[in-house]
Amino acid sequence: MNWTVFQPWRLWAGVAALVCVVGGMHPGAASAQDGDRIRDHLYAVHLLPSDQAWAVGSFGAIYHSKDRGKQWEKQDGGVIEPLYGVRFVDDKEGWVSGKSGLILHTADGGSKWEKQVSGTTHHLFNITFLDKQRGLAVGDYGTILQTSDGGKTWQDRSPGEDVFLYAVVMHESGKAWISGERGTVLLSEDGGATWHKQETGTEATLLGLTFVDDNLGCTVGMDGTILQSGDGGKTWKPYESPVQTAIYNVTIDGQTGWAVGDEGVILNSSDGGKNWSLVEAPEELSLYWMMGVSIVPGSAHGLITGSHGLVLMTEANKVDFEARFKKK
Amino acid sequence: MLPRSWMEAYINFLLKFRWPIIIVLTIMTLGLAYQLTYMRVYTNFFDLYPPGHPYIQLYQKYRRMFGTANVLVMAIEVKDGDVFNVDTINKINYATLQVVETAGVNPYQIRSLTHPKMKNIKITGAIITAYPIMYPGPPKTANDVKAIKKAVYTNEGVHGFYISRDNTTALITAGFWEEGVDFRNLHERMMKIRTEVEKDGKHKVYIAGFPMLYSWIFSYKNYILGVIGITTVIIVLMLWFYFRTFTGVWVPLFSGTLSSVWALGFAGYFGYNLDPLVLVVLVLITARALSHSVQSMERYHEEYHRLQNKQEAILASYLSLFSPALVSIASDGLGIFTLALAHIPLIQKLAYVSSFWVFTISISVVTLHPIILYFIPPPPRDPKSGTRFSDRIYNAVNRAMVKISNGGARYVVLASFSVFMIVGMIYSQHLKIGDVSIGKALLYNSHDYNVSYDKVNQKFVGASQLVILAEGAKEGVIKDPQILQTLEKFQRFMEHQKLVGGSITITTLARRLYQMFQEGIPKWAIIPDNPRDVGNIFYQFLNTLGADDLDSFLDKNSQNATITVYYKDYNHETVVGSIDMARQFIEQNPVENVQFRLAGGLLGILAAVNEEVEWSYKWNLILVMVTVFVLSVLTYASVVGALIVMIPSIVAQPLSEAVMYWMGIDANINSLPVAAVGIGIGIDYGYYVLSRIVEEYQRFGDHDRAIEEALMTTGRAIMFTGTTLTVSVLFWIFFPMKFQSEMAILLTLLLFFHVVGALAFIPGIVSLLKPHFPLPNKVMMVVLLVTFGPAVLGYFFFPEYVNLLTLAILSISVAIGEHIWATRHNVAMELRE
Repeated sequence: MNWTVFQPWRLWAGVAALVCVVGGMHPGAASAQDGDRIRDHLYAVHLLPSDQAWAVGSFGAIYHSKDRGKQWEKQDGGVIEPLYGVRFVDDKEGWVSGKSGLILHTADGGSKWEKQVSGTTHHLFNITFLDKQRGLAVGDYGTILQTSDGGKTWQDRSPGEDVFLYAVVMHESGKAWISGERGTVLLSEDGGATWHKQETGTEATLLGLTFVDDNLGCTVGMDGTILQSGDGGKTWKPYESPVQTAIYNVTIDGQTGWAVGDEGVILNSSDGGKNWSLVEAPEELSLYWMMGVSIVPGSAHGLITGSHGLVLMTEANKVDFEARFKKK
Repeated sequence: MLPRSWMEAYINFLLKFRWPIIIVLTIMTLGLAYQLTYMRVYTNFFDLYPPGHPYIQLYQKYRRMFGTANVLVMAIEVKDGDVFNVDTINKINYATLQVVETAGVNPYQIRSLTHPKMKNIKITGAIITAYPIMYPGPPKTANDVKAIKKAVYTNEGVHGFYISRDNTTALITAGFWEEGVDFRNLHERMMKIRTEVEKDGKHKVYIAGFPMLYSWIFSYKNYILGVIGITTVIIVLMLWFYFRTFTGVWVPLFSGTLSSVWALGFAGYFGYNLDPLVLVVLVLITARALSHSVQSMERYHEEYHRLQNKQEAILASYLSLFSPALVSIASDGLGIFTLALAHIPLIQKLAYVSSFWVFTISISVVTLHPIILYFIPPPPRDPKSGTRFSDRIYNAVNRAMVKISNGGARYVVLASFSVFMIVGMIYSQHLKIGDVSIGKALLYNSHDYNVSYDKVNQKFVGASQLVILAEGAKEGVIKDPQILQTLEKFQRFMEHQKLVGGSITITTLARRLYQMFQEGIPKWAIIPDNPRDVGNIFYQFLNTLGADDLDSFLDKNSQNATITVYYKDYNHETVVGSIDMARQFIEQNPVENVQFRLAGGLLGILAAVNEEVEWSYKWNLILVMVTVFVLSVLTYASVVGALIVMIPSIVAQPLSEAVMYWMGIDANINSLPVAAVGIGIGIDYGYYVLSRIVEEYQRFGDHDRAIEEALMTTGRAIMFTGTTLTVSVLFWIFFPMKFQSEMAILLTLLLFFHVVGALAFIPGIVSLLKPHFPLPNKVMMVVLLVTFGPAVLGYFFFPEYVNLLTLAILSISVAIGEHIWATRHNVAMELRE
């Protein structure tokens, strides 16, 4: 037991208080805020050549970094809905998509975010932009939205099928791809105006999608599914996955590819997506899932984001685990 | 003043019918002594809650449904490494099981990593399951632990809530029914769990929360007896050194004991429990009985040596003493009784018992003393009287008082009082109600409890909760997606505040379940937009979790739900700020069929208590002062006379608040009643001194001579009783609880101040002002009308302007007018007949 002994100074303090005219001690309560680590789940991230990055996630979380993900500051999007996708076309202009048809736009690097009218109440699980005008967003119940005026207006391009769509990629050539539930891959050759369903040979939900060029692509999904295409997404063949857990996202730039998923799964490819191997990670990582992955084209730098504010920096084919999972 | 003929008749009556009176009082005493056995010293939590407050009514209404606010928190910290190992998780399990079996616990309100209510919702194939996180039983291998760790990370509301973010500490929380807590058992049991868990030297246990706080307070019960014992011994010694006679010791002690037996018997008869935190007040009142007794003995001794006749001496001394004694008992008693204004049972019980206790002094001292003195032999003349060391001290001090009450020194005294008053008024403004958490107000920061409290707040989302209730108009309304989304929005809105560590609602679970509906894909951890999906979730809730597992978030009919916000620390400002924020949200986000109601949880209760204390303290002080003022005006038939006796109290009031502020003493449900009792404490001295000065003035016809005589006689007794009262509270300074110690310091300072006020200020101002009273009856009527007329009008039409300051200004203005009138009309200075 911890008996607290009498402290004589208290009596003197009281006497002094009575006889002294001056006395400015304020017994105010101290306030200690919790650590500054991000706690929100981060569903998506986009890293730019300028080293600026934005990550978005649960409860309207938008975080911005100026140093390739080392430090983050919170931006106020004015919403509490989860945000699923983020895309910037330069250091100033970017879009975020979220729950219930939410699209936010900024023209000043995120100081101010404004809602755009998407015309849908369906969740928009991903968004992409080619430039300041042309963009696509996809979501549940087969929702596909297209804009050609920077999001001032969005056209509904949904093919009418009740299927959840999770990923979208568009290329300058006018080719665009979407992946989703029940092994769905949709292809457009007119910048997203019309869509055609492609045969994938799987029923697994496909959550991530990337195309290195107009031909070479890769999509990933539930149960460790990895599909590869060499003909612009018309045909797909399964790749023997090193894992059985869900893979949530994939990106490839040049020879470097990253695929990330549930239970701390990170797959790396060093041959442009032809072969994938499981990255050896600290055991602690298995407690996290990862969904956001981004590589700066032509550079070795990348970022991975996930649950509970997880942010990992990648350099060529290496992941920096040290910063987050320091050895005790 | 009472008519002399009445007093004479009363004393003669007492002496004549002494035997019947003794018999009646003996029977009464025996009866009350029997009732005393029913008196209990403990804290009843319901005594702390103002039952009429809307927050408390809401709490009472839903307490059975959503659990009690009276939550114990136990943190188990691993000294090295993290909690995810077989040994630690088994220890957490052991502690959890022990808590489950503790008397008074609400079994539905226990949360811990290893409790079956802590669910792991996951999808296996196409089936959603919700097994306990620790499943199927306590872990035996590292793999079992690995599964637990994964569940902690993937189920929201666990990591940060029950396992610290750094994984070094686990938390067990348990609600205890207010009426079911057995403090002794709780304390012993918790200490046993701690010893058992800590015995391997690798773990450390921290226990905090309201039930634990009061079990700590209860554990000091023996200290209370110890302090009372030491105090009694010292007072006996002091009485001996003062009177040097056996009679001088046993008569005051007898009176003090008699009053205590009656008052505590009274408490037992009415079933009032006494809170250990306010016992210091009761000891002070006993000392006050002693003090009256000493005044009476002293005067009797004095008169006996003058008259050399027992009966004449009794008559002479009590004729002089009746008035000041009765008026001071009435002032004290009524003053304390005004505490009952607060709608808080704890304070009301204190008010009833304490005021009854004070009133008993009129029997134990004023009635019984003349009879006792009649029976016992007259005091022998003490050959050494006046020459002993202690006498020389008293005399020297009193002579110094005589000196400073005339000549230039009196200006210094009056100026110092004015400075005290001004400084007090300035700094008392800073005193806020509920500035620190209750634990910090009652116990030292280094106390086990506060160390534990800080640890829990540092490691987890927070030890204190605010609960907001979403009350549905009909069954099933919480299933409305819009309502669920509003709940979530409300939750996030509240999280924006400082000191909020986290929050939890039914939506936390709903999101997790919905995610499982959609293959466990993290992006689906949302509240669905369409009612059909929500319906499915609720159906699944009942099938996989069972209604019992949801009971702290949602009732069985999905009609009412809660938002629980966790605070890392709090003060009254945080609480008020949070409640204002919640109100703002409710106003801006109206939803159909659901009414958001404030405020439950510990913070809601404290908000209610503090609001009530703040209100009642203001009006209580005004009422104390007005009561004392009325009695004083009636005693001296003069506002000037009343203000002279009251000024030490008037100065002491803001000064005591300023001292509380300087010393960092928190103003709260426990300290304010003590402070309020302390304010009126010195009024006795004022009556005794002023009455004696007036009496001596009639004899000598000279103010300074009268003052000198009064100070050397009554002043001596006041010095002694002042010291006795100080001793009665002094030893509480050494009490292991900060609150008792601080209150003792505050009361010591107040008592000291009142003695100085009575012995320096009152003679000084009498010498300077040469007051004239009593006023003729007609003039008195005018004066009363001019004083109370504006006060009453103010109360009804401008209550916001009615405060101690405006009332003081009003009465001082009247006093100035009265003094000018009385001086011009050559009114004498004498006691009213």
